[in-house]
Amino acid sequence: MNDNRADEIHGKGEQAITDMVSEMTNDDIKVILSVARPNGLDVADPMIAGALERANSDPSLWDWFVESQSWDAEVAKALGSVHPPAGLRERILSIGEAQLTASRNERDETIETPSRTVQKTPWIAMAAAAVLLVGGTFFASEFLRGSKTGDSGGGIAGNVGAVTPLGKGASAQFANWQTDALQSVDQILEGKKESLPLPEEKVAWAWIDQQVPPNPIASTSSTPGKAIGEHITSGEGIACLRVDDPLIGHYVLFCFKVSGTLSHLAVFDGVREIPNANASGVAVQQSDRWQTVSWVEDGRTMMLFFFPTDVKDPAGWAEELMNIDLAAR
Amino acid sequence: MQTNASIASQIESDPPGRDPAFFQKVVNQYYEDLYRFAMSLAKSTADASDLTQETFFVFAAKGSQLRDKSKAKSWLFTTLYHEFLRRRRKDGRLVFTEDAESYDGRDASQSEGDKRFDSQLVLEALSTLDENYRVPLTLFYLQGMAYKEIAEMLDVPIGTVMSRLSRAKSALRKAMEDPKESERWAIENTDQRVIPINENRKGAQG
Repeated sequence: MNDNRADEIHGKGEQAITDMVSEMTNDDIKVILSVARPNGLDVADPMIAGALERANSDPSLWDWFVESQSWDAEVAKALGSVHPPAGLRERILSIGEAQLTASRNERDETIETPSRTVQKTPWIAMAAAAVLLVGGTFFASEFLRGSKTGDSGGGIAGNVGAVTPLGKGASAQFANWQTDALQSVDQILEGKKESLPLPEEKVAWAWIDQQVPPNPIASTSSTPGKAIGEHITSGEGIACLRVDDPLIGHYVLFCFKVSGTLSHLAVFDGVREIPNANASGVAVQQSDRWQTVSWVEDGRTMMLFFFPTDVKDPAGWAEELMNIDLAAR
Repeated sequence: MQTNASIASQIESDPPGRDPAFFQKVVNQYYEDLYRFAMSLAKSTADASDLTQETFFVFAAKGSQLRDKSKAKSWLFTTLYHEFLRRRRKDGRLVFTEDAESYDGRDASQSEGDKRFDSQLVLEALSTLDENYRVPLTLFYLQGMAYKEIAEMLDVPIGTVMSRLSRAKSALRKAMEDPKESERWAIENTDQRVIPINENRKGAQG
């Protein structure tokens, strides 16, 4: 039975279907019986009822059907024993409830000029949502980048020509924890994730230490993360996030602007394997969109990331924030 | 303990709106099967978890627009499938790859003697099927969707769904019994066309 014939049958009345089924070959009948669900759920379907009637009068066809249903039941049982990772349900409920709350708040609250603290979160969400309507995440990030200075974000085209890719280009491979942090920032920009209440910039680094404590035994002489923390005190906090994921682990994100450039610092618990790290353990990579620099500091793994199109010299920008010479490492 | 049927019944009777209790019921009822469906699409546990989360995020944001609560199941599976397609178009990442992390969440509570097939074997066999066959088959097995529901969800003709289900079952069986045979089948069936069964067995009688 080909597809068209099956469609044709469905356009017929019950008697016509019965007549057509009675003229079918056993192979055609098997096609129909193979879509019958177990426990007689489809006996009201005239086509399946007709096929079952045929099977009832043909022992070989009936045996085939019984074996087929038994096999289906085993496959369904095996698929049903695939279990989601621990904590997925809780994460879904947490995210969903936050979204339900956010949706209610968006409906009820009066939109005011954004000020710096917790109220930034709905502002970010609303701004991002508004610009996503016309252009997607890229434009959302442009909006955020230009928001404070009144800049319309139109300088991108001019910047593109000045981009200096640092890493191995778009094919650079990122570990799961790096990808997760990049995606989390994307979701903040898209308004899909809400920021936690932002700490004052002057205590931003202390807040990060509190969320993901350093390991005093594994302290390092080089402290690029701490240098970034010092820059943040003269900049502007935009959003922060704490992520606890059974697959990724625990980390915090701090999104900030220094000299008008939006950058992000992710601090992960423990020492992670850093893909493509150099001899000093520092990896400078570029994905399709992001420039990242990853390293280990005081027993924690850190990643600084930003859009390379935002700055004339991505390497220079990273070095300035981290207070290190990347070329020398 | 609530049965699936009683939960489904409550879902249908819940008032519309952004009700956290309703949301929780829907999550409890469907998140495991949605995850399994996502696993059949994306294979990686991380991507499957992400797709499932994203689907419920969208549901939390837009679920109140769902007028007929009995359609929640179909809506969720459709949304997850569309999200999978969107992401694949966007970054080409959510495809079957050899280096994708493999599923390791076997049901430890169930002894091997209790079941004929191992979930890992079924997932691997499913992964050899072209998406046009894998998606309806997974839906058929996971939520016991009727072929008409699957046709509606995937927006393909009923006859095509019947044909794909039948052929997919044969291919799955071959893949579980003989992986080499399944590879050959997969190569032959990776296009979008469904070969009418009559073309393969002209004049054959069952």
